[in-house]
Amino acid sequence: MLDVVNVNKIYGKKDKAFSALTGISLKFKKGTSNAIVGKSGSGKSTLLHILIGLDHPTNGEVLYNGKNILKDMNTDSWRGKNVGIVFQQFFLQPNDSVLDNVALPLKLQGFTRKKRNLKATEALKKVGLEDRIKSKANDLSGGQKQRVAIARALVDNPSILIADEPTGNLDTENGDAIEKLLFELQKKLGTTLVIVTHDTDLAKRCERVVYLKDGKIENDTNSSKK
Amino acid sequence: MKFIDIIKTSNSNLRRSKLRTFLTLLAISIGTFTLALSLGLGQGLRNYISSELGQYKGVNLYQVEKTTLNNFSGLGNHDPIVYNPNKSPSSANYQNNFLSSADIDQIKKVKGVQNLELPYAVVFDYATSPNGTKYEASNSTFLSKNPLNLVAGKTLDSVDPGSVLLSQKYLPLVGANDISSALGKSLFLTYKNAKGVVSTIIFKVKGVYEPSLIQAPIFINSQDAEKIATEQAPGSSPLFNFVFISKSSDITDVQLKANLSNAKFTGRSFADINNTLNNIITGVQISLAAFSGIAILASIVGVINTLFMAVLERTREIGLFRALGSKKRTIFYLFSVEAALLGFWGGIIGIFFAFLAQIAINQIAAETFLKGVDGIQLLNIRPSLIIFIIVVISVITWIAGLLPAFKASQVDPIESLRYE
Ligand SMILES: Nc1ncnc2c1ncn2[C@@H]1O[C@H](COP(=O)(O)OP(=O)(O)O)[C@@H](O)[C@H]1O
Ligand SMILES: [Mg+2]
Repeated sequence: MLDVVNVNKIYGKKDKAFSALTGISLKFKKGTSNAIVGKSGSGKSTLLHILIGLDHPTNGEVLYNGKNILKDMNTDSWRGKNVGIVFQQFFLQPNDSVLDNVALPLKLQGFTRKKRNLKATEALKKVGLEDRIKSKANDLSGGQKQRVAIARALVDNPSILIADEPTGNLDTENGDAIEKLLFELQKKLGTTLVIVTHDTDLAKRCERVVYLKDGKIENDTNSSKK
Repeated sequence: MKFIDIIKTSNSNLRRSKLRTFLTLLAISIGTFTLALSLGLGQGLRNYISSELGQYKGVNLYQVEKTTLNNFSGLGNHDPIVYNPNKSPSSANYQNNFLSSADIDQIKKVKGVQNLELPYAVVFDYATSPNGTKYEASNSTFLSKNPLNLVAGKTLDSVDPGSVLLSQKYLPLVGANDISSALGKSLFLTYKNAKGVVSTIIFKVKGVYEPSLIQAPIFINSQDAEKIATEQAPGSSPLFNFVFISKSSDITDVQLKANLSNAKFTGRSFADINNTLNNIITGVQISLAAFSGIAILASIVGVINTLFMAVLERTREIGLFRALGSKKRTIFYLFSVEAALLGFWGGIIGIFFAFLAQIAINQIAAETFLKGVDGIQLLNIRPSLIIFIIVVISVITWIAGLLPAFKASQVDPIESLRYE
């Protein structure tokens, strides 16, 4: 469903040029859970940004159902409709209510207020925060904030869920709970999950793990299984 | 994003930095306050003039005088001027630039001139009312083309000795309580002749007219006016600075003025006087508006500054919006609409206070220096003016916000979401 085809990313020019990604080709199948692991600086974030069309690869392309996400469609609209993102730092609007935070992507897409609130409430039920709908985002604990972020990512039933170190800012207990929730919802909703992490335990819970080293694929459990 | 949501979001963003927004709105509202007052003042004066001079619209009446002011060189602060028998005196006589009877005959002969009338200046010492009270009796000689708004009776005929017209406010002079009972009443007017001999003459009120700032309260017929003015003249006959004429229908306004000018006379219609006054008001209005323009200019700098700061503060939010699927365009709209809303609210506040000021100033004016002058609203901020000002100020601040909004739309989401 989401294919990375021969992607290179080179930062800088000439003698300062630095290759952050080299010859990356990956196919993410619908409804699978995938992890991208690697040390800091190995190119995980760069790959993720290219995957969701926020960054341009120097060569190669990313295809969604066979279409180039940068050339064959409006990338921003595509991302809004099909991609949910969970950040390590949550990135909630601190002074807005939990409900408004979850409804934000719908507002950006032009849904009516009524529809937004309906869908956001539904998403909050899925993460078990329906009783905190009216709370200010800032008044929540870290674990709760990440639940809100997950609800926000899933509010419009995206086909792809991207999580960048989703447990990186949480203690073990909360981190475990968030992990559990992520996989549970991924199964239930049939979402394609791509987790970027350096936590190998988290990675091993995924059906497939891609190891990155110095911008190259070092190991891919998918291909080794075959 | 729906446009209504863009407006709502931008509007609530204004509340995020309350002090900064307040100060920016203050600056904008001061600009619009002064703009509204200066335009409102102009409108008030314009309305007044058109209500006073409106009755002269299309009236075929010209005031004709000698052309001298074009060689006017100051009253006394100049070198001695060598006498030139072929040239009318420059400045010395400009206040007593009387028309000779030869001049008047010459005016009559100018092509396009018809119906020349002489504005006899008659001085009455007082009018005596039936109960014995003496009133001042300022007056004019009736001109056949003078447009008066009669409320009772008839206007004067071209030959109508013994008759007067009276302003509605001057009914006590004939002891009348209402308009219709004034008709036919006697008006006793007392004057001195050139030698100081006092006499009283009795007129009959033929018509009553609406008072107006530029019309005398009493109009006397020209036959009696001529008789009294001749008695009062220091020489053998009354003197005139100007005369009134009408334009014949076979000639244009421009041609008539050109013909008069060739004969060294200057003709001005009442429309010209109206235009001159309006031009003066427009000039005053523009210079006042220019001052408010400076205030608005200063507030624009405030708007630009406010928005650049908002962009800096919200880079992470912009990045988040982009990651969640916002187009660059949407980010641009959010910030430029925020700028326009600053103008909109600043305009509303400024106009609100201008309105309060208008009520107070009109009240004070009516009780002090405009006391007794009916129908004048010194300030007149019309609804169309309010809409005009709010639209203009919103557009101006919107334009001021274009650059910051563009900068906001160019924020790199990857950079802004990077966490260090
Ligand atoms: N904008 C950039 N300009 C230059 N080099 C960059 C830029 N972004 C990332 N890099 C480099 O690319 C490499 C991969 O970075 P990144 O994808 O952030 O790795 P990871 O997320 O795995 O830590 C790093 O060496 C980093 O320094
Ligand atoms: Mg990273």
